[in-house]
Amino acid sequence: MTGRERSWRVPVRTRLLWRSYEEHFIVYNCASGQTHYLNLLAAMALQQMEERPATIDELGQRIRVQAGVDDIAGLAQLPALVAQLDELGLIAPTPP
Amino acid sequence: MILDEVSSDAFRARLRDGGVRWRVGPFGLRVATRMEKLAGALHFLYGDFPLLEDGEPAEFRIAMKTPIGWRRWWRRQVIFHFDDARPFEPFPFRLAFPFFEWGLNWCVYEHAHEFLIVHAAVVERGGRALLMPAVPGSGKSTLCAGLVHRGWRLLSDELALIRHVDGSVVPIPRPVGLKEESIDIIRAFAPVARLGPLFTETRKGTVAHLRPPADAVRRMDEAALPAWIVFPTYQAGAGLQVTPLEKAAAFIRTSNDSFNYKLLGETGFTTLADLIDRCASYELTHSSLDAAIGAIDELVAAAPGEVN
Repeated sequence: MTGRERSWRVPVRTRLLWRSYEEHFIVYNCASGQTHYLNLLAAMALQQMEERPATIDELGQRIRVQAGVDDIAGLAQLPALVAQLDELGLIAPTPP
Repeated sequence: MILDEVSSDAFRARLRDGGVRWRVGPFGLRVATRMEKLAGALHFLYGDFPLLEDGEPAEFRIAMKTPIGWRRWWRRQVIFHFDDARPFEPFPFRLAFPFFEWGLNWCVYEHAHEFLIVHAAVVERGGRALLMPAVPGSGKSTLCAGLVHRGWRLLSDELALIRHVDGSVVPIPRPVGLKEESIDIIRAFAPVARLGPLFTETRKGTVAHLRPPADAVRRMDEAALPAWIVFPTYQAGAGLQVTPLEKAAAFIRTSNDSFNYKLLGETGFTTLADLIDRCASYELTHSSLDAAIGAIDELVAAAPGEVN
């Protein structure tokens, strides 16, 4: 399975608390006790993966639909963003 | 009855014989010591605080003692006792009062988790509180002392106690610690300010404490809802600059200035988020106390806080 085919999600046992402040977001991970400061794209991606699993391509598509815009700045960086969210323990790959 | 109404001799005798019990904000203290100079500083700087009445608990039981042994004749030291614990290494004897204040901070932030505790000065006007979280050296206490002499009520110089249940700041109006040039700045700025003894060669240089205004102590049961957060920075030669701070950034900075945010878990997140929601936040850089106070008065007038 290639990186783009892998599906990602917020782990089922992870509960996230959100506060949104215009285009910035604070998310608290109840499992780790860590607080994260997210920009709009990271927050949209994380919310999508909290809702249900997504591959990177699906994630891009769902973010476009959610935003109602096709050319979203920064979407090309989605693989790096997903890797970062994984590194922070906010998401994990779904089992094959 | 307040400490000032106890004679100096009686105060010292009670400190030696079981301790004096008084109330500081939401906490009861019982303090025991045989150290004469410490007794003098405590009596002066806490003079307006009420003695605990019978039946009122002393949550923090502190004894300031000198170690026994030959060493005391060459290098006198003082030990901070919290019940049977000795949480710190001994301090030089002459710095007993700053050590007491430092130890009392520890008592609060280590134990009082019914509050979100932020390292911040807090003042109140018109029923609304202004928080000034800051790192040491930012001029927080100087600004706090200045505001207190320009119509603001002192809620705290060091520890903002934010109640989880309603988000209000509970006063703990203890002495305001001033250091180095700030001591003379406040003497000149507010000649009525009552300062305690000077302590030289502390880790922060020369230190003195401002006696809390009597009105702030009398009203220490009056909590206030916060409306503003200002992150002050004193910078010699800098022009006055007031910059609105985006809420998410204010959240992260305030969480970094909190003693127990992480410990509190979800409760800490919720309390802090509510604090950020109800406050307008700013960064304030200045090189003049007058200018900084003027800027705060202006921003308070222009942004009167959110209605809750």
